[in-house]
Amino acid sequence: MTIGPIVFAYPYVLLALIGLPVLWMILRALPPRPKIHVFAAVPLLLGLRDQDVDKNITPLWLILLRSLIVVLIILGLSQPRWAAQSTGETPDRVLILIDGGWAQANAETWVKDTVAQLISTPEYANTRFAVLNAAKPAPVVWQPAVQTAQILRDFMASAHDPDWAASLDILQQTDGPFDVFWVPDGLDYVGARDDLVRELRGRGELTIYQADQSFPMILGFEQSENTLIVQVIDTTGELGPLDLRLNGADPAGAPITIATRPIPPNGRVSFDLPRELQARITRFRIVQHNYVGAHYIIADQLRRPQVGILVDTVQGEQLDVLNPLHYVEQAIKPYGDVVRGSVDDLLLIQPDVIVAADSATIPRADAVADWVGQGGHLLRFAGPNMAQGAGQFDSDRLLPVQMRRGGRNLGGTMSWQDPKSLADFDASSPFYGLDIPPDLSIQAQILAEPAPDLEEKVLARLLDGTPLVTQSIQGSGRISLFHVTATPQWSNLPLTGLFVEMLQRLVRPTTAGAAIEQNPETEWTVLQTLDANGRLQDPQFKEAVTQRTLSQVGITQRIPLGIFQSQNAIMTRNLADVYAELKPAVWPSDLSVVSEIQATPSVNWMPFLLIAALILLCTDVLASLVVSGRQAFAGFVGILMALGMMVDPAQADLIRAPDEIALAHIKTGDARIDALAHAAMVGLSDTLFFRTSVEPAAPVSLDIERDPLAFYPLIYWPIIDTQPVLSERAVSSLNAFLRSGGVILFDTMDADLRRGNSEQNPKLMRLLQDLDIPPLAPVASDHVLTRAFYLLQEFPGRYRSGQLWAEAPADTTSVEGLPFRPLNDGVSPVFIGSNDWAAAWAMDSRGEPLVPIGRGRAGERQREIALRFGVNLVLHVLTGNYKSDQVHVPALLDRLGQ
Amino acid sequence: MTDLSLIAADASQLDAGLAPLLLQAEHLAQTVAAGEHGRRRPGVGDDFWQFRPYTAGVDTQKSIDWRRSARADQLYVRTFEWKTAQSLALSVDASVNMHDRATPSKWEVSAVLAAALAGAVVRAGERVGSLDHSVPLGYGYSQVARLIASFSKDNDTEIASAPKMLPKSKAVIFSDFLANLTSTHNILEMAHDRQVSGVLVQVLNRDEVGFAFRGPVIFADPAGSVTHETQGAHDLRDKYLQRLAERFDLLDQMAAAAGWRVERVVSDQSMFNAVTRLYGLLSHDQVA
Repeated sequence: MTIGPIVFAYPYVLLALIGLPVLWMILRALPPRPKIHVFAAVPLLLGLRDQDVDKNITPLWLILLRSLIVVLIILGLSQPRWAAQSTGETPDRVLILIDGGWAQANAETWVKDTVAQLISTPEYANTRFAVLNAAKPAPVVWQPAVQTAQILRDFMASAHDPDWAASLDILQQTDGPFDVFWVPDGLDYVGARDDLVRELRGRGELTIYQADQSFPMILGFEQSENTLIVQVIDTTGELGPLDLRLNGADPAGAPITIATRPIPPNGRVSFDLPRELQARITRFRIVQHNYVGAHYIIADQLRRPQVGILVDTVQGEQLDVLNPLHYVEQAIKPYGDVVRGSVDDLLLIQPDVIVAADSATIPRADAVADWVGQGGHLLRFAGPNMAQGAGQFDSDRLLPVQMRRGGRNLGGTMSWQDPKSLADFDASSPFYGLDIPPDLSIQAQILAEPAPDLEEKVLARLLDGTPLVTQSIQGSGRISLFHVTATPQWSNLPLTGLFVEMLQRLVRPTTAGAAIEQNPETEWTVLQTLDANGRLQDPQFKEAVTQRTLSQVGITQRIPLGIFQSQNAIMTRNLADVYAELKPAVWPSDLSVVSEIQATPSVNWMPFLLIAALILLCTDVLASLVVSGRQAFAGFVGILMALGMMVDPAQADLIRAPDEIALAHIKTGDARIDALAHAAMVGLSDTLFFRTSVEPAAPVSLDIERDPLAFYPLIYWPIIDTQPVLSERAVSSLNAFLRSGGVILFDTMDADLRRGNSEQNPKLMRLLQDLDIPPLAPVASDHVLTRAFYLLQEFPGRYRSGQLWAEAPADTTSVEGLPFRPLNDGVSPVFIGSNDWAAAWAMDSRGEPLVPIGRGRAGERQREIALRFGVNLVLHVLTGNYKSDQVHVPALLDRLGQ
Repeated sequence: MTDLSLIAADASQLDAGLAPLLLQAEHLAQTVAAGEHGRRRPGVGDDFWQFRPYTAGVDTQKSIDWRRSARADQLYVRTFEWKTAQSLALSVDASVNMHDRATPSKWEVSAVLAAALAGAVVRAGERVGSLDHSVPLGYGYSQVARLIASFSKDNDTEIASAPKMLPKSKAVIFSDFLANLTSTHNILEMAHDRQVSGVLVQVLNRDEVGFAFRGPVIFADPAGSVTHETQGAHDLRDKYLQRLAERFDLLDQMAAAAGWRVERVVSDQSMFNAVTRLYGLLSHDQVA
């Protein structure tokens, strides 16, 4: 209800004001209670009359005061708000349309806040809302603002494009007029949503709330010898002050940042990096942005293939031009590393490709065959030797096809045939799309024995259909054969550019993407998908997609961005591959577009009114005491009240905490887990109390969004599936807590079972990505945690199989003469595990365990070890590296002795 | 029964509350009592008063002081100062009215004052006892303890029927005289008949004298039988004080008619001044 600019959330409470006159009368009829006084001279008083009857009932000001108190309470309970912007008419129903696609990943918080602010405006108190997320269209449900706000609290941008057609369908199925708040992502979808706009405008008033944001996107990269240039563009055309970061892996595979550079205005960021370093890059990202366009993942486009040239030591020294593989080496050098060596050397190096020139046999054929079976690629060239030897070695598995003995000469003096050229490549061929130079001529080749599967193995053939390049799959590796020499002896192929390109496609299939894209029938399956925030996820749908579909469709749930794999190639699909350009949305001029809502000064007055009533109530108590002649007592009560107001009981824990150590756990919202966690803290506190000189106070349950954390040395945090995403405030308070020496023990309580294929529990990953967590490593057997109080070798809880992780030690080298590595000069800010310690620690008020652990005596032993782990953890947190220092004691004693 | 054993017996009867009172009374009595005092007229006694000529027929021959007569031609008679033992009867009102909540209560003040008087009188070699003869007149300090013990007994009714007042003795009655005055009137008449003179000591507390009440008050007498409710106690002050003054006048008139004096004591005032005044009234024959 609205009275003028004031809106009442619960107007019916105001009906209680009718009862006010009755109260007035009752108050007037009930004077203050007289005080009984024993007085011996009563007989002298008998018969005396009070002078003025009226004067002696409740004074008028006291009645007014009490009436005012009641009025304030009634008004307060009706929850009035000042709604300055009230426009009078409020719609009955409002549809909140959110684009919800990847483009909103940057503005998730903005969307949530904006919509929450919009619908919590008091003028919409009686309006029903529905949310339509265009990226995840679902039939709309009309709900009050409170429930709607709860739905929106979990809003996350989807990894794919908004589905305009499905959204339009749903809108058309929704009856009646309604107003629309549209929160679009700010990109232009080139007419895809014109129908939608038309439909929405037909239903009611359409207001657009669009975040003012830009979409800088990594377009791609150029690579030369020692320079890497990354191209960035922006929708607005102007690039703000942004930084580009290259993420990669160190030789051990741990993620590292390789380089960070500011992005110049022209968007071309140049990195001077040696090839080896470039090969380790897995991702480019714009540091300041977090949506998928600010990420550019790289499978192995930057990796240099290592090509081993098999050197036949028997042939000895030769001139370079006579080197049978000279042309191959020259072709590969620009993008790959060439290594020469014998078979034994090469097998040790394990190159990507081994190239063998014309030879009848390859030494150590079995070892080479094994290598091929494990994923190696053997590339062979034909020649006179092979032609002579062909057919003699039927068991030679190192050829893709059976060879016919003797070569075939074309266009020679002894031949009736002209030199042949190449036929056009089949669409299934990796060479598809390469231009065949007109002057190509093949004078000699080795022929394959006809076989039923010969056709499948041919990658390139001559005009007469005889194979020139064949390939067969052996295990997970391949064997390829050029049926000509690698020198211009049999053909001029090695002298053409075609040879270079063919080799490139054979040796480096990933970069062959450009060519494979031209084959519309190539089938790709997704390996990993990119979500809206640029994180790699396991795919939801794993189905084959043809190249044609990939190039035609935008980003959908089934065809996401990410890393794709075909038979023998890997391809990345980044945003820039789908949208070469992002255009800002253009709205019809008659639509109102709001980019920032003014904060409505709609203050809920309830607390103020109730506090005023409370103050007046105190005044009334004092006044009543004064009126009934007890000034001294009134003064005493007044002082008491003043003291009472100064002490806030809610702060009592805080006042207490700094004096004493208290264990704490984070409230998850799941009542059972919270109770268990609290009981666990009680159990651990008791254990500490009995066994160590740590005597913790009663444990505390913390609300991560509200409570200050700074007073607790160790916080236990059970992670459950419903763990909500943290607010900015909570994140900053957690980071401050971690920076200032606090320790958090995360417990996923699933013995590492729930994480499935991914590296870690996804909820935990989501939670941790905002926190300043150092690199983690499994707790080593010489970690100080294993000897902080008890000597432990495992850290079981309810489970014992989960791995415990802590900050990775900085220096992992062991020092001579010391039993332990000098690690952990400090305490790891986080410990992450999954053994459900809460269950093992939990005790009731009598010290009896709450949850059964394991079976019988072994279970009790496990609980005991779990408790010992808790004791060790707390003491490690409290004493830091003290136990590490103990290792120096013998040395110190030695020195003192001298 | 010796005095010593009497004192012992009575001391054992004194409960813990009375012992401090006795001590207090003792202290007060010592500051007041200044020893035996003569009657300043000839009579039976030990001290020499004067020689006077022998009058035949009036004086017995036995009374002639021969040593003085030998120095003259005339016969002389030696007279002594009259020194009779006076007797003092005390009464303390121990009704609930006297036990008010003030410290010291009206009864305590009365009891201490009475005991102090008793002590002073005993020291002067006179007799003391209670008005209702529950403690007969007697000498010695043991009387004081016995008296204090007897004061704590509510003897309100016995005062009214105290017929055994020794003629020409003295009496002191402690009370607040706020209740019905009939019994007081009877006692005074009786005392007048027997030529007993004395002092009415009216002990009041500060509230009763000042009446500093405000706001709504229910006044209840200590027995709880009579109450008076008012909404504005302050307004009653003037009227009450007027009635109190009337009560004072009435008491004064009654006392004057019987030849008694009225002394007023407020319970929070100095007891030393009060006991000095009282002793003065008794000892200097100001009480006729």
